[in-house]
Amino acid sequence: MNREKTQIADIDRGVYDIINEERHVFKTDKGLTEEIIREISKEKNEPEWMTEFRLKSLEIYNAKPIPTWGADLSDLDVENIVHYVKPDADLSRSWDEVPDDIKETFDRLGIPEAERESLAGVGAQYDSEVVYHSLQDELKEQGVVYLDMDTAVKTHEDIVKKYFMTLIRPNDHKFAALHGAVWSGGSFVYVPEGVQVEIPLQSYFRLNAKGAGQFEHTMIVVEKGAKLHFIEGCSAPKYGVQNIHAGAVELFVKDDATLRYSTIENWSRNMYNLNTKRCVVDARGRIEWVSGSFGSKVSMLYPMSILRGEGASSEFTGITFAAEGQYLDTGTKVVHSAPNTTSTVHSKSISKGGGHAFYRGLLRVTKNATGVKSTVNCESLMLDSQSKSDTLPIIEVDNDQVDIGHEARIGRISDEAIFYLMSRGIPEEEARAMIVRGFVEPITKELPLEYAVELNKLIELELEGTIG
Amino acid sequence: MNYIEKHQQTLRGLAQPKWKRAPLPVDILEKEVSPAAFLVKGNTPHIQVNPFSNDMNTHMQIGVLESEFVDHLGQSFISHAAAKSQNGFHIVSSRDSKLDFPLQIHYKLLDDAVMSEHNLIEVQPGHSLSVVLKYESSGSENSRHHGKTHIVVGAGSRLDIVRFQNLNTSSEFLDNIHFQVGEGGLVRFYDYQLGGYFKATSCQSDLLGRHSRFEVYNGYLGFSEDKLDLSFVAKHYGAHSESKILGKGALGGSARKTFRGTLDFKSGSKSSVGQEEEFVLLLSPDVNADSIPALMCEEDDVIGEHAASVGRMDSDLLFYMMSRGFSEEEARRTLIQAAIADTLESLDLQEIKEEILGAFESRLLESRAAILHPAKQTSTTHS
Repeated sequence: MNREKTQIADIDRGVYDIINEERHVFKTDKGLTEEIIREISKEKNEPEWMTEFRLKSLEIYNAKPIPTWGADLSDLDVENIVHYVKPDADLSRSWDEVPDDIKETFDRLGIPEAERESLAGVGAQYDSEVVYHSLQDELKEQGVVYLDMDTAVKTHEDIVKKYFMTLIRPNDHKFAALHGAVWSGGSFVYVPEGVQVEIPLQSYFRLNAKGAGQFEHTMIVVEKGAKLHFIEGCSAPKYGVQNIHAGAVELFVKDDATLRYSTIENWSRNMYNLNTKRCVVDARGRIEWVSGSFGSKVSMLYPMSILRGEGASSEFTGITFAAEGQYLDTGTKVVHSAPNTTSTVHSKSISKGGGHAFYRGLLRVTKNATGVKSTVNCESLMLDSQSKSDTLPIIEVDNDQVDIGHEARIGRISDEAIFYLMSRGIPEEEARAMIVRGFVEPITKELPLEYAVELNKLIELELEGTIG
Repeated sequence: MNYIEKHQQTLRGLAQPKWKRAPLPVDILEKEVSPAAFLVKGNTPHIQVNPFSNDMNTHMQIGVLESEFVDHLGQSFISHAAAKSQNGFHIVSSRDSKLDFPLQIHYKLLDDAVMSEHNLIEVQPGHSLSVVLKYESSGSENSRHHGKTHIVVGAGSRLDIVRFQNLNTSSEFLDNIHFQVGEGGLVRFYDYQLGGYFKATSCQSDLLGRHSRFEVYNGYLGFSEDKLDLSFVAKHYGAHSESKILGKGALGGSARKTFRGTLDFKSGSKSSVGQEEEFVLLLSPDVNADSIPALMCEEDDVIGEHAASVGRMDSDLLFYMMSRGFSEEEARRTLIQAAIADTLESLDLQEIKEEILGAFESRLLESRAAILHPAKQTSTTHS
């Protein structure tokens, strides 16, 4: 019998695809040379050590080969990408001062509204520079620092110098080196000892310029016993040319501190998202990653947790939705390098319309890390047979005092489940949608409300015909 | 150029392979080969058993089959086995071959020698065959095995195959095995890696026909500085095909193990089901246990599952057994044996089953110290 397949509509990206006219005051030439790096550094009025750091990274970048595993990056033409675009706007502390078209974009994306309602601080980056930053006075008084990274390099030079690119080193891989050379913008958060930031902080990155790259650097230091929830949102309108995003996120969680880092990456379908995120956790500290990967043409993203203090823990909750023309290679890395550390990984992926979702994970337990407990759980849902879904979770254990469990499952929506729901009076389309919503529910419940709504919108379903 | 010459030429052009997880012995492809002594039992006149290297037809058949086949040990090992094989058989089933009367080939590897084996096994449509391949050392010196076996299982036929490797502890065992399973065919592969300090095996099964089935049961031990790299791949091409990979083992001393289990659902393998499970018991703080379970999927209408569990023995269970009069060593040994026995449950050949379990028991008795090692470590590791 020729069964008709379930059809899921393409995501209507709506506001994400609105393109603004490009207005910039400074834009480097295409490609990457020492002159361009010096120009960026000069434009930013950076200290000498940072200029040197950029130049050294450029050297490493030129020497490193393009990775041959994972995504096919042969189409990526870095020489044709503009690495730095400064929008025609200065950093504002007041929303009213932000130029109208940029303000409108962020208004459409709901950023100021979110700030009014549920956030303690907001940062907004447009192309290569941060255009708006604010933080509640109360937190300022407690010593919390929330700045754009470029300002922090000047005002908090000692902290930045101590931590900057120590977790992600330029020689880790080619795109870490690229980031080291051309990074611009991003957020800097410092939470002093014992301060509990109860309401989330949020940064939103918007890449408007055509054929440009975004290389924001996010650095968060959560001191002893402190707590923070940080939300990151990313988007870009679609152009016919390639854009690249090679950001870096470095997180430092000290003894007894907790950090939750939530991300929704919804880049346009011409984007190469080659982002690197790492976190190091000290004794009894905790990192919680919540990660949603939707957009981009190609993603290679594996947030890494290094549990180096005794009793440290990590939790990773991730969802990847790969639709037509997308190759999303995502996952997580956890390194247990201290005794009695624990980790949990929950990963879900949905692929449809020829999309390819690849979960790639690493769980490493070093020799001295005894008493480790870890569970890894991967589930993949395929909505049609044109799509692909792969799972490759690597487990490396170097001592015997561990308790590790791993489970993975791949499949489609079962006819029995649909049949059962229909026998209870629920129409088939609704039953199907309920099951998909149920599949992603463990992720959506981890997100703040407005993001959960966004996520639900992103996986809107349109069904036709009978079950495939 | 004939088949052997072609592989000789290929081999000359290839560099010595390098492996990251289980570094290869330095001269892996250099040593000259010499044949091993063998004994064939259970050979009924109905089953054709011809020495492989004499049979030109076999070479031609193999040449056609292997164009599709790429295994994880690498081209060097395929070419080595093909170019230098001096042992091996071409086995063809007959209507009268029976599952409970296995064809047994028992090899004794000579000291300080490399044995290169090449087999082709054909199970004709509708036939049943069982084959036991057993490898032992004749002395205590180093010996090495390079093997390559192609197995074609026809429509509606059934093959039970046991590979039992019990070489001495100074030997190396490298082996490729490749199955092609036709419509409604069933293969049960029982693979036991007991001896040898270096064991690298690669098994791939292509489930080509509708309703084809492949089950692999693997048991292993690794002590002292043993290196194990075991790979099992089930590729589903046919609709309604089923696969099962079950691996269980124990590691002590400073053994290093990599277990790769791959379920690969190709486009068109509708309503197929694949299952992979791996359990490893760790007996010493110095072991390295890597697991690489992969799930590849190009078809939505399939179910693929894998599970891995890595850990120490259940202390409650040990305590219970010891309260019932077992010594700690006996209790630990029994739990390891129980795990291995679990993988042998579906094997109908009682005699072979007992032989394998007996050999595991002897090896565990020899490795007493390694089994008890953790008891001495517990006080220091939590400091």
